[in-house]
Amino acid sequence: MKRSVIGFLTFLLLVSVLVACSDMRYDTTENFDKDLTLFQKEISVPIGSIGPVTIQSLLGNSTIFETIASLMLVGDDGMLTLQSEQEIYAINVYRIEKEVDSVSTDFTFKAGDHSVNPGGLLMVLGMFGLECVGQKLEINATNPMDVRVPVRADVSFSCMNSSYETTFRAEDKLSQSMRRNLTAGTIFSTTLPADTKDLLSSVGLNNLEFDLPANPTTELADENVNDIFSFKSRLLCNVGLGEKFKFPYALTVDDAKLNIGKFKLHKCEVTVEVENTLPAALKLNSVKVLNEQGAEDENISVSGDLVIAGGSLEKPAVTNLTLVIEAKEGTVPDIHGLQIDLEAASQPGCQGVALSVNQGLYVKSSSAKLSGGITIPFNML
Amino acid sequence: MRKSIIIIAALLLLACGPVKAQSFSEGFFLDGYTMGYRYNPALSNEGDVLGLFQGNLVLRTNTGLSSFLYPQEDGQLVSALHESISSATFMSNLNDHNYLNRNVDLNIFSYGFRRGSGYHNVELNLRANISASAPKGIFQILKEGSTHTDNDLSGAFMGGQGYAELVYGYSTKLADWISIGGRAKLLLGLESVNYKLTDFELTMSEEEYKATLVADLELCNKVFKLRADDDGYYKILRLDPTGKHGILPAGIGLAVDLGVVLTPFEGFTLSVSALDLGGILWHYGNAGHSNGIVRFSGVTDLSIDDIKAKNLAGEFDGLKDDFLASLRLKESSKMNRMQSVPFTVNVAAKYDMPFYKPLSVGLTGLYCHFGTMPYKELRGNVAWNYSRRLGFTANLGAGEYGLVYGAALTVRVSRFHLNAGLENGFGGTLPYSKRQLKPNSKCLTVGLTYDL
Repeated sequence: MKRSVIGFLTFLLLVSVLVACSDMRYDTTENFDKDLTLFQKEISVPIGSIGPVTIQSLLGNSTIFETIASLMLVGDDGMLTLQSEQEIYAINVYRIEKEVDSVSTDFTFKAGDHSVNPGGLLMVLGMFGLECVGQKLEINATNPMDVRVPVRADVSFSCMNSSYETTFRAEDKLSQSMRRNLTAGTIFSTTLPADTKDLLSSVGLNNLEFDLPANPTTELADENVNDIFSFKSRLLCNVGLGEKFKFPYALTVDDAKLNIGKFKLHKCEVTVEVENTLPAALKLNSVKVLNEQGAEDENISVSGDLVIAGGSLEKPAVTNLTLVIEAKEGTVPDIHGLQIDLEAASQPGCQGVALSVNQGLYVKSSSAKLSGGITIPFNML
Repeated sequence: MRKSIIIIAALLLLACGPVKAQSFSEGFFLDGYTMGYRYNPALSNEGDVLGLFQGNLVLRTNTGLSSFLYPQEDGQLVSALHESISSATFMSNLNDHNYLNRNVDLNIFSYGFRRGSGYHNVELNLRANISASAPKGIFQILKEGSTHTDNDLSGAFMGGQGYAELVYGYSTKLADWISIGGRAKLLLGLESVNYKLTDFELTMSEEEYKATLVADLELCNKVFKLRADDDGYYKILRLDPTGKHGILPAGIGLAVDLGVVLTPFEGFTLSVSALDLGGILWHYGNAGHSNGIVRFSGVTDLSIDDIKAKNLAGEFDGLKDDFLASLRLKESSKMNRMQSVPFTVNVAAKYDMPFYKPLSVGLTGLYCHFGTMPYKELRGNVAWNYSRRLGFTANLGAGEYGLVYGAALTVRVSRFHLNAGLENGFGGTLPYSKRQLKPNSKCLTVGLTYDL
């Protein structure tokens, strides 16, 4: 009996110890907040490199500059080049036969004086602070005849601004007569002095005349294809940024919905290292976060000192930028788009330098630092 | 002479490693427990015994649920990754390596019988062990983020093996004061899965994430295989039936239990045993290996057109996929590997009270080796055996993770013996699930034997 009592008491002790080890304060089925907040201190994520964004691609993304961008070529030397081609004079051989008294023998056709303004389209450049650098003038002619045709003319040209005319007065010396046999191709080519920034205002072919054989229509190479003598001017120049250059640029991404509201982000710090080889300083006027209606979300502030210094290919300017995105109240909601407005302005001391296609903005590296954690709702797990 | 050699050999072997199966250590103190040879092969019974379906479940973790679950003052429970829990609190509750180990030992039948001077036993067991280990750095990254640039996450591991055990045991008395015993085990491997990050260093900077990785996967069974793509990389979630569906083992091995019981004087018994010394040679259905350096530095030279075309998300998805693809396991030609099974060393001493024989006191010591997850403990025991029909024992001690306690009971009804025991650690438990909150070692044993 005594042993049984001892055994029973021991059993009671065991049961009481086991029961005492249970803590009933909390209930895993009812009061369990299962949301997880990861990276509570901070998490840095590399974003990577963007670009290079060249001036050509910038222009291509601007409706204002589309016309100019379409005129731009990339030269063999990689420089951005503008060209303007215009017809100075054209006449077909049948008309020549009608205008002369007799074509039964060889004769000289006197076409007279003709001129054109080759820089008309390029004048648009000046309106936006761009300038021509290193102008090159070509006069090209086509000959529809099957024989060599001697052509003679006095070629003259002048520049647009009177102040420049003063400088260009020396160009009178360049006014010259060309006496050569015409076949086809360039009959005249010259490059204006390097410091010539003014646009050509006119190109003239004076006292134009060419020697033709008797009955020239019988000497056409292919009368069904071409029976026209034509003389065209072609103006080529590189592009530089003038003192008054100012270029607004807007990038809107309005359909990139980022469902980040549920993650309860507090603050996002974007760090960017930008290399700029453009001779222009860029200022980020504003970065707006768009809401579902496409309007600026007033609850999100984007701040930072956002000026990118100008540089050159030889001396790129490297600028480190920091952009802070945070919610004024609560956490960052869903983002439905971004609107970025920036402005480029000429960097003092960089005028008159021809732009290369390789010049532009290059985000060498970028990263985002999220502070305060990312909350993952339990129902997403 | 021959006995002396055997004794010396046995002692030398035991000196090299510990003793005792993670089985029913309390049974050593219960007179009515008739399957003591599972604890020490040198233990025997007077008569023949048939045991059926003794189950032994062990759960060990050096990081309790209290490291991951936190009660709030308002009664709400939150996880360690809840924003209200500070990083310092969470980190202070973790170990450098946090592991979990489960062992299941199910005895289908056990038959012990005395013939001549020796005691024999044969058994069929099904055994399984599952373990996982996670370095602190993984949780640190999840909790804190990239505050540490260099993170060494090496040693992360997940794995398990299941096998059947055919056992023959024999014990004999060499002298009045000494008995020895041994059990030979034929191990038939059924399933083995191991994935280990041998080397995993993660550098997280604003410019780049870089992972240096050496990882191995081994999968062995006769039921399904992983499928490799044309480039030889495994698609982890694509399992194909092998078409064999057989019960043939995928591995075969041997193990031994060795034990010695000393009774130097009346009433005192010393038991030393080493269990499961051996391993299985697995033939792998799949073996994969990752080795290399993976870098992630974001997008490269993304164009304005890409941005305007709103391809940002797609770009990052692509990069993420590339990064993860680099961690893939490539099929390896290595198809055989020897893998040891967890072994246990037990030491126990029991002293029967001279003034009251049913009452005894003693000590048990345990060392269990499971790869990088060793466990040891020491307990003081008290036992009361009313007769062979009723016995009870309880213990209290210190283990790898703090204070532990245990209790066991054996009851005989007619020729049946019911044995049940529980070992546990101190600390609160979660309501309903009763899961322990503190790091602990838990062992549950239930079994039934029949005296023939």
